[in-house]
Amino acid sequence: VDEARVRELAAGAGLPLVEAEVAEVAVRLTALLAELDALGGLDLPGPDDSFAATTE
Amino acid sequence: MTGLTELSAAETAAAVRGRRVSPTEVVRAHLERIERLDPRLQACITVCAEPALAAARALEREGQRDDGRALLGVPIGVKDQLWTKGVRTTAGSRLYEGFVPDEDATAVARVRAAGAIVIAKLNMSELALGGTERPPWGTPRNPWDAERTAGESSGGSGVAVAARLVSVSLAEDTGGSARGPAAYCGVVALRPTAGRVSRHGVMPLCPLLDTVAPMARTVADCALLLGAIAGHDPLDPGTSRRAVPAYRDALEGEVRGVRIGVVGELLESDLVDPEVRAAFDGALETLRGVGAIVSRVSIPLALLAGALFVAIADTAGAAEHAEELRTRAGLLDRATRTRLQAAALLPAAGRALALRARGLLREQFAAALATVDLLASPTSPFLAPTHASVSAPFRVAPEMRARFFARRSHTAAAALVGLPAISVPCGFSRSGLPIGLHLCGRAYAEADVLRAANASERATPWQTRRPRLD
Repeated sequence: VDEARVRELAAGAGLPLVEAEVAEVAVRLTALLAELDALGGLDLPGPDDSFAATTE
Repeated sequence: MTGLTELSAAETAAAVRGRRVSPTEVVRAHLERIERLDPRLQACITVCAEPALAAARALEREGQRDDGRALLGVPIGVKDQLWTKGVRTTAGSRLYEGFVPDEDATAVARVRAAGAIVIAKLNMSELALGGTERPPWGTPRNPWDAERTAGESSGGSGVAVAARLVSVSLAEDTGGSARGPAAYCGVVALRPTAGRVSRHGVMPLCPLLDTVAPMARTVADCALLLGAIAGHDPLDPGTSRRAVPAYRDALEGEVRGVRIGVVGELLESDLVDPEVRAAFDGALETLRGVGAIVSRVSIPLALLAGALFVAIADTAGAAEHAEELRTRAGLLDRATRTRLQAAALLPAAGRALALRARGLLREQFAAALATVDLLASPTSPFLAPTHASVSAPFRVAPEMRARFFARRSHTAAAALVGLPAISVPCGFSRSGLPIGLHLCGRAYAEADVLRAANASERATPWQTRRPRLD
């Protein structure tokens, strides 16, 4: 995710950015997406954001 | 009575019940220590001197009667994320510097009902996120080395407990926010099972994962505090109706034969500091020495837990603070702002993917805990980093794996699956920094977790060390 894409996404979301911090936002987003990429190819269960099912 | 700040919470309560000491003496001793040490430790956001002294005098007027209140006269600190009636509650952010709740969080109300006296609201990373570069109320200083972080986000709780500014603390743990500071500050913190303790009055980061967490200098005090706050709360529909066990009594049970599985992925990573590895190996030997059976288990997704946590919790935080991000982002610290902004821009598919992976992680924990009773790992792969290295801007994406995701993976995995987990000291580095042992148990098996941690604590000298502050 480059800085231009971050500006574009932020503008679409109505999210004001500090220009000097755009690079850091891009790095954070890129790093997170890279980590999540590692999930590709795994056989994941269906969507689940339940709370109680975790423990009860 | 001398050395009042050295007493455990259990000893303090017993002394107050036995009228060997007055609550006012206890509170004054801690307030004096806060006044003397906190200007450099920066553990407190608000010191509640007058209300605390008034509460102490009220206990005296009642006659300090022995009516079973477990925390009678115990000075407690509360992370500034939990509502305290009539006392400013900031979540460590200028966004809330004027917020004064008109009621207590349920956990706060319960410790007060158990006789505890709130003497300070404790410093924290902004909005419970971690990595704050310039916390509005100062940077909590690790009492073992002021240049090192006290951990995130309940750093003030870790400092205050280790430095004896308070006897115990109500901290909060979303993905390791209590266990991390406990490891770095050389104290004990327990993250209870999701639903064991009410979240009512906890300013949210991610309601799916936010959990009130007792923090203390001993496992026994942690058990005492958990017993006071656990149980169903009509104000939090997510709380369980299960009976609350007598956690203190459970500490004395047998550890012999308990099966402990070492999470291989969290130990064999090249990010694990050799000194952490050595201390952890020592902890395993200690547990073997008291009769535990140690083996290796696998949680294949464990090292990705940090990223899953960020994808789930940070996006929840970004949603929680969406309006502030649009209109008042200038009030936020740089690190908080960029972290929440990045989360706000994560595609919804990314969060959905993380939630599905959480389901797989849960299956992997269930499989492992079908073969062993407890899971063990270092609480952090490395020693407490310097303040600068925690809050410096990220320049390149690979840097984040080592500095940001790795530590979170060690504690976030248990958080993501809602299981109880504790950090208990298991050694010190050559430079004198504490190292934490992390133990995770089955749902609602807090007693098992506490018992094993207590056995480790009793068999080692680590709990008796104290930072040189005087």
